[in-house]
Amino acid sequence: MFNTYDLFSMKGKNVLITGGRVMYGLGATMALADAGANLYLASHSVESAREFVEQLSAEKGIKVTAVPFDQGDPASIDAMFKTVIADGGSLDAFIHCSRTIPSSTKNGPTPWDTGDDAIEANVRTNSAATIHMVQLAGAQMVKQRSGSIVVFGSMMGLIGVEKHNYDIPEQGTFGAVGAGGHTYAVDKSGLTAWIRHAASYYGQYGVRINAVCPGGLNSHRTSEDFARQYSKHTQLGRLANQEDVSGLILTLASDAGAYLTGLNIPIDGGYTAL
Amino acid sequence: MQNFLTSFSLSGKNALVVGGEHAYGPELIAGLQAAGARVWTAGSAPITDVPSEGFFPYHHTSADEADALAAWAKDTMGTVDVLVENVLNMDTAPGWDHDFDSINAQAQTAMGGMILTVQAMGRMMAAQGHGSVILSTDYGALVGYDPHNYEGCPELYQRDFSLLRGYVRGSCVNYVRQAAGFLGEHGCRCNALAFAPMAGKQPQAFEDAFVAHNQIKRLATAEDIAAAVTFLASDASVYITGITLPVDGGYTAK
Repeated sequence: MFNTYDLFSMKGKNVLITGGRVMYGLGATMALADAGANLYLASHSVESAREFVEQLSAEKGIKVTAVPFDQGDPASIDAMFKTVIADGGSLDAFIHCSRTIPSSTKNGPTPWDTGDDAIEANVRTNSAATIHMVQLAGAQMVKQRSGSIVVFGSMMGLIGVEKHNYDIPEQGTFGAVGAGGHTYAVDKSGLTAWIRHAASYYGQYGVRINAVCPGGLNSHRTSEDFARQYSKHTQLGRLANQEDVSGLILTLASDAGAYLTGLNIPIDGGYTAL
Repeated sequence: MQNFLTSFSLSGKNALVVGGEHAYGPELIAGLQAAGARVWTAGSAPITDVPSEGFFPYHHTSADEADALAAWAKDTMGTVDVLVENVLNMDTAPGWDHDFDSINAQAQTAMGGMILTVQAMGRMMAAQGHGSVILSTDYGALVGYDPHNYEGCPELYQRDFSLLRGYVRGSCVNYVRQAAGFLGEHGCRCNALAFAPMAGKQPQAFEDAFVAHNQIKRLATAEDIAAAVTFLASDASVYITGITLPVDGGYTAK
């Protein structure tokens, strides 16, 4: 007999996830592991991922494999997809949580004055690399005539900056100017539209693509002042925890989301609804 | 009360149109001129079918180049009341399969290039204390293109279903909100226009299919482009900032 719960199962499915060991990515990984996926964790260092991989595999009783990944290096991305597809024989879901903040770039006195090397690096390692990765995942899924792609967008791909949230002395760089980085808004805005564009293309091949658009995460880097002011602008009155994304990620990755495509879904405690 | 219709006039205003060589460019320039503006242009190639007060070769490559554009604009135009950036309507390489270098090069020109222009010109317009920034794109910024509209014209399908098209076209929708946050307190505004395809520029099969799915039963005309850009450029829209205005006969409203 039909059991709704089975729709969420990832047993026997090969899933590649980037950024899966930290923040929202960890919330996604735990959900996919609980659902029984055969997990490939894209890792900047396979060695440093080893303990996490062994522990997750033992705890959840699933196969977990770390694969080398450097988001700034197209050759590494190509090799990663080849490795995963050769090893698993298929790619049933691709979850892209990783975002790189290039460290070798300089900015001007305010966020408005972004240096062109910072713009170049951000467009390259975030926008262009994301398109490249989805294209590679999509090519395999088109062959299979099935698959689900989930990309992390952002609340900042849906709305502008609430200056007031940043009118705090220790976060003054934002408050002084009123608009944050150019590249983040442009990248996430482009992604929002592209999810619909890519869904139009992949739909005819039975492949789905969606974006989850989280709001602010409660992490060790969040100041109390920011948390208080930000939380007032959400309907649920709090920042997000990393596991807040788990249910949605699993829904979109699994057959529970079989008729969901082209969506940009906010996970923001109602921030964008205010 | 003064006759509010005069607020639509661009008489006495100076406009700079960047990337006018791409789709909708000539119509944007002619529309601003018809409303009374003097129009200067910048881009990778001069536009021959409409006149311009002056042209600056500009390839969306670097902060230095964007600063040079702003310096040229200040020297030759004096005041820039209106900036139209049309680079997002550039042709992206057709088809879905591209290598990383091709993806990156296109993303750098369109998305990085748009930032460079808005950053440098925004700084200049903020110093002036007024100005309207308009980012020009098409309806793909708001919805996915519909594969069914392309049955019967595979060449156009290759063009519009190019890998980067949606990313590029849509990158302004939230950027205008972000930029509006900086420009607002300096008396400047930033909005986007998202156009439907123009009548007579695609194969008949596509145009028929698009019109069948549209609420107003035709494609966009030069007059539609002119009216929309005039509205956002003029003082008739002084309290409007951070929006993307669809100019599409209701296509994206369904």
